[in-house]
Amino acid sequence: MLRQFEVELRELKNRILAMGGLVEEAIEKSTLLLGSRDQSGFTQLKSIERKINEENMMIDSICLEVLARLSPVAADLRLILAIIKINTDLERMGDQAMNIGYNVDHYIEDGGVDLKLNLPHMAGLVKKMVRDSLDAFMKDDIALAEKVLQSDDEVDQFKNSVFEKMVTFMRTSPDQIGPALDMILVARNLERMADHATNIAEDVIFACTGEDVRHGTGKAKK
Amino acid sequence: MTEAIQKTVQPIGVATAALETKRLSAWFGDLHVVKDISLTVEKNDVFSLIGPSGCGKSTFIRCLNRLHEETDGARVRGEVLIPGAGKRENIYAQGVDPVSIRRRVGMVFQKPNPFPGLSIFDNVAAGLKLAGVVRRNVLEEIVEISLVQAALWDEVKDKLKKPGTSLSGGQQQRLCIARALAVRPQVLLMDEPTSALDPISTARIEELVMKLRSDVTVLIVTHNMQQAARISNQTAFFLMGELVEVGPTKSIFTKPKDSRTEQYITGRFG
Repeated sequence: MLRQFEVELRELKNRILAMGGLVEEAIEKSTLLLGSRDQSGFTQLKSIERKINEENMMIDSICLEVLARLSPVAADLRLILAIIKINTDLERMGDQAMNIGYNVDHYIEDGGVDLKLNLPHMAGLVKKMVRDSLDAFMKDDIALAEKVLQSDDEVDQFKNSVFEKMVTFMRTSPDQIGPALDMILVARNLERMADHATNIAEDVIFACTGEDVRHGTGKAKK
Repeated sequence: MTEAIQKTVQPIGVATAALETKRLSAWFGDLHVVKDISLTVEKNDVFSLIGPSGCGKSTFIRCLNRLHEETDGARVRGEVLIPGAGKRENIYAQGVDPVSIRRRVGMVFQKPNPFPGLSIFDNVAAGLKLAGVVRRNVLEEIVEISLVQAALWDEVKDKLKKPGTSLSGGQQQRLCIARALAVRPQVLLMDEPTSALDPISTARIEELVMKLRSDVTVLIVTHNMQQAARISNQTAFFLMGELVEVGPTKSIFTKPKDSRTEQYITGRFG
């Protein structure tokens, strides 16, 4: 027979996974807007973000109840703590997808000139980090979580390269500062999403081992 | 004892150890119920012993004031060291009087057991009288101090002549704690002291234990994981007569080293 905690845990894990799916969809939708002038995509993105927010509140409420009723300890306690933090990270990613939506909207208003930054590639890297971090969470896969921590460097480098290209572009095309700033903000939001995926990976390692690897303090290489 | 546990239990100097067991074993007839336990409890610790029923934790603490040997067929091997006059004394050394040990290592049981027929005052004074204290003013002073320490004075100061058994369950347990404290023990053993009490009385006893630690070292056997987590600073996990793991309560309840501890405290067995 499953312990009551495990029943509740299974529900929470499934909810986190479903919420992660919504976040991936939000990232996908937000970056698709870059190549489209169709406003319906933005409307869909807003609807996904609303669902993410609802799920965020529901997961918090279940966690609060589990803590109050079941008083988890040891691995159970670490897991609930990780779920609460992952829930917040996913909700923030939803907000960042929305920020991208607004940045792209503004960018299109500014003319939507193609700056050849390949941001969908960066978005693909971020989506993979989100998916891998959640896979690591579902499977208690520490090795995969550590791989996510390492992937963050690639996203940081991509963001830096976007920043450098845009600074150079703004110097040579001062009339295009608006769209260039929009793209800097898109890259910045994607990079922040990668940071949240990194947080999730760190939480997975903590939940599995009890080791706190945040801020480069653990054995896992960031 | 495993190597991992030996590493956890650091040797502690005479000055800070309130109690130390060395390879302590206990039997009921042929049944080996406490197996080779070596651990140190520091002065002013609240030290919890947890483990499933029948794991030997109650027997273990009954060895710490020589109560175990009072059972027919029961025996003990190993050492229990407590600080004496300038040196540590093995309570099982030849010639040591068990009654004198029980004054230094007091005990509170699962069910409150005030002496029937004795008043509240006489319940607390009983141990003192046995120890030869006869002066009324001395008795009165110590009884009052002990009842204050046990957080019961305000509730009973006007009815000290009433029978101890007239009090509520929670008050009776605090009366038993006052009785144990009256003889100024170095160590107080508590065997599931709140398992028969309601949540409010339990909370009062827990508060009391935390206050008492400045005066006395407390070892408490509990089945209530949250109680161990709330009140103790050190926790030991027993299983089938063996000490599986001992360490700071925070570590035991957030990141236990042994998978058996993890499984027990998370309710996967036991």
